[in-house]
Amino acid sequence: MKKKILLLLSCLISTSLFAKDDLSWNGAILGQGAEENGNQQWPINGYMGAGWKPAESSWNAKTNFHVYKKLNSSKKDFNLYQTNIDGTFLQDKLHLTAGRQFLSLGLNAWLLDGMRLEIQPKETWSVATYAGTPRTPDNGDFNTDDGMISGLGFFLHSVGGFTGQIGTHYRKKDIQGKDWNENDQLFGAAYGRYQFSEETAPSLYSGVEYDASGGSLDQAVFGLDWHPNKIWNIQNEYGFYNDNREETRDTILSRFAGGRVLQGEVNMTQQALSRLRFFETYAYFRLKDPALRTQHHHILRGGFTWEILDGTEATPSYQWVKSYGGKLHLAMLDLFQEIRPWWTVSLRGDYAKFSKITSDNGAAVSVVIWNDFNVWKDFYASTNVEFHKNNDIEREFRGGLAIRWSLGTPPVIPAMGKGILQ
Amino acid sequence: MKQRWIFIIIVSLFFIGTAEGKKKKFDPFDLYDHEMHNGFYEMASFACETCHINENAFTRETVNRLGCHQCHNNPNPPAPAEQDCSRCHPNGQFPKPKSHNAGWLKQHRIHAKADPKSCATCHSDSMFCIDCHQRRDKIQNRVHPRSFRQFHSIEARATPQKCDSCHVVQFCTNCHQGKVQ
Repeated sequence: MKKKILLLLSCLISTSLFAKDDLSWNGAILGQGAEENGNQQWPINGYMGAGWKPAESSWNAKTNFHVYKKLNSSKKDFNLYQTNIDGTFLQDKLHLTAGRQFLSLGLNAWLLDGMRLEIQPKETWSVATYAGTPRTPDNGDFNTDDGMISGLGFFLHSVGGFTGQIGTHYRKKDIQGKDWNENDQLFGAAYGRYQFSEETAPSLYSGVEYDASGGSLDQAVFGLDWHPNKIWNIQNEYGFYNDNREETRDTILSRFAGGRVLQGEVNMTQQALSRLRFFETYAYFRLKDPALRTQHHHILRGGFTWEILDGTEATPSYQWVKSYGGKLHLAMLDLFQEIRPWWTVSLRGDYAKFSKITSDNGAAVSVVIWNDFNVWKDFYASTNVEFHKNNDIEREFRGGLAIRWSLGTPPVIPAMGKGILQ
Repeated sequence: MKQRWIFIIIVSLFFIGTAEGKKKKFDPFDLYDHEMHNGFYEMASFACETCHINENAFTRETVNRLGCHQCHNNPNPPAPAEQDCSRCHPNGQFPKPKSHNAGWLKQHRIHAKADPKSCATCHSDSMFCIDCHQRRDKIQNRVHPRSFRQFHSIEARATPQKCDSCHVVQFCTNCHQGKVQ
């Protein structure tokens, strides 16, 4: 597979050089050396992406993949994230994507090996259909039992403040499986969002998924996102998740819950000053554990982001979790500084203290620092230092180097060390 | 001992910049030349209302900045336009819409299903989604805290449906049954 992709890339590059087409190429290579309890490890990550758009053409092709190798061991991995041809035709009214692509489906997000076609006759509505094999990097690619999926969706785009989708999909989880109740899934779903007005900007959103083959409501979510004034933003969400079916491929939900999950959550932010933003979360979950005992879970989180100066930001936060798995106290600190326009530094530290039902109690400390240098145009070099101490490792130091580049019109590669926890 | 000094030196780098004093914030409109763009607007038959959506939208704060994306974040632009995002968004810094605020990580799944096209206005390549949902990086942690492996079981029992949004059961069993480390 790797050889085929490299061959394809070489063909694209050579073709485009002659045709003066729009070619993009981006990548990142991260290498790290770690000493864990006296053992040395040398893992290397490589990310590559390429895109090709023939001159004056309505279609383009792109691919992104990841290779992983441990230098002093036989461990290696290869993940193909996307490889597809994408075209828009009939004055952008018809959009076709063929190949491996991202597919958001039900509770999960998958990769689809197949085809997606969208037709938008009017600005206000469109119809999309897709078919293929769902994949995931966790599962190992190109398994023969990944099944198949096909779906159809009808979309409304900003009609009187409303946007939404009514859709259905049919999935055969194991292509060989014959039991309709366990192996097949016929889903009906509706998702919508209503925006009242721009001034006060409250919005309502909801999603409902019904599993016709199992005869059960799989998921129902209702939420309100509200900006009562310029300082406050309050979001409430109430959810219902069901997992009472015996399925060929069970989910993580079904491993930890023996039925329905009820959830209520409130998230708040306050822009107290132009450079100071507070955030808080409280979430409550009620579920039955696999032994069918009712359990109550709580997650509490709070912190603030303080932009000390332009380009210098600090985000301390604290999180408390109580579930039937145990209790967790987690303190985190994120620091980010743009020292020069070409030089940024980020630090992420976390300290966790936890007690678990397995009695594997303890504490964990982790500090990760990245220096990111914009060496020239879209060529970056980064250095990394890490320290870890936890139940598994007495103490561990890591040092890393990374380079990343982009030529042409690639997707932006996130700066090293920047997460999305906020 | 040596490692400790390395840490101290690198952490102290944070404070070098703070001593520099206040820097001027980058604004992409510092680069913008309306006169230079006029020819392209005529070529693409661009209406003024694309950017100046009402009579008040004539300042940097009020103009519709997404108007730029009609050409500059479009694989098939109506007029020739540079597609390098970092020209206006250096170091991956992008302004967030008002909706991307409290609990956005929680609610974005419904919005993405209700109106995936509005996501694509800015996130034109699905690698943006794949980067969190599918990427399995054994060196960098993109979504979870670095020590997450130590206490993930506590959160997984509280919100198991959240794990399902990116992982399948094999992801758990691969480690718990010792197939990979």
